[in-house]
Amino acid sequence: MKTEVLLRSIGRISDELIADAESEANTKRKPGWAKLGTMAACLALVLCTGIATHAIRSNATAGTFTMDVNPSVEYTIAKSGTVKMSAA
Amino acid sequence: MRDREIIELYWVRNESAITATAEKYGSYCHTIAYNILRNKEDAEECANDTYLRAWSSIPPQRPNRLSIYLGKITRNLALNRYKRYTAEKRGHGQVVLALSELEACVPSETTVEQTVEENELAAAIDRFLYVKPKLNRNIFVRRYYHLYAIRDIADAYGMSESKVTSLLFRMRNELRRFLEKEGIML
Repeated sequence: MKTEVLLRSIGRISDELIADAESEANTKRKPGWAKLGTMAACLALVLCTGIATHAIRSNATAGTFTMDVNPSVEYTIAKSGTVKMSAA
Repeated sequence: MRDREIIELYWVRNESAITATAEKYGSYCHTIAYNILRNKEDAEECANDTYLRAWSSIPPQRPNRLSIYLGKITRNLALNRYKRYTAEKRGHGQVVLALSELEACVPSETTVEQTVEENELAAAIDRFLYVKPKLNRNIFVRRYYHLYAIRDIADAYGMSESKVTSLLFRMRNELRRFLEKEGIML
């Protein structure tokens, strides 16, 4: 009985409080497709970051070797095995 | 149609007020009743009864917010119906049915004392809610005014069910302490 009085009384709270609760929940609701969209965007970001990192790293210097010839030539080799730079 | 125009139709006793109300707020009233009764037919009947209550109360009433005015009527009607069904299930069928039939003989379902008591309590709950953070306040209202399921509230606010449950638990305890402090006895 006491809880019923409480439940009935909550039915008499201010109109403003009720309207506020109704408007807020509507704006915060995220439909299923929106959640999927957010997940897809995150996945795409992770993939792009990975690819970009790999591309940068593959062009990093793996080492240099110098040949004492006349004139001498120095090759700079990238991690991917390609010659990045040569200097006489 | 704007609320002001619908209310005007009630005031000039134009029956299209009911059709306009049903068109604009039918699903709103249905949702409130359905949250309580969990039965489409019962919810529909409550919504229809709401329009009739509005017809008999406007005028003299002139609601500031028609949706909330209708929602409060629907909520009361649905709670009455829920109470009747629950009592019938408990085996008190005939007494409850007779009381329910006799309700039609009295002008209001609540006594003056009950109304005053409920109004005082509602005013205290207003004071309690207004000082709470907006999120907590709104979740409390959606649970105990609109009677939404915890899962629905969690979905609407992008929160876990356990977070909503613990938030409501804290709010109920705070409300109890607040009412004790205000000297309100239930």
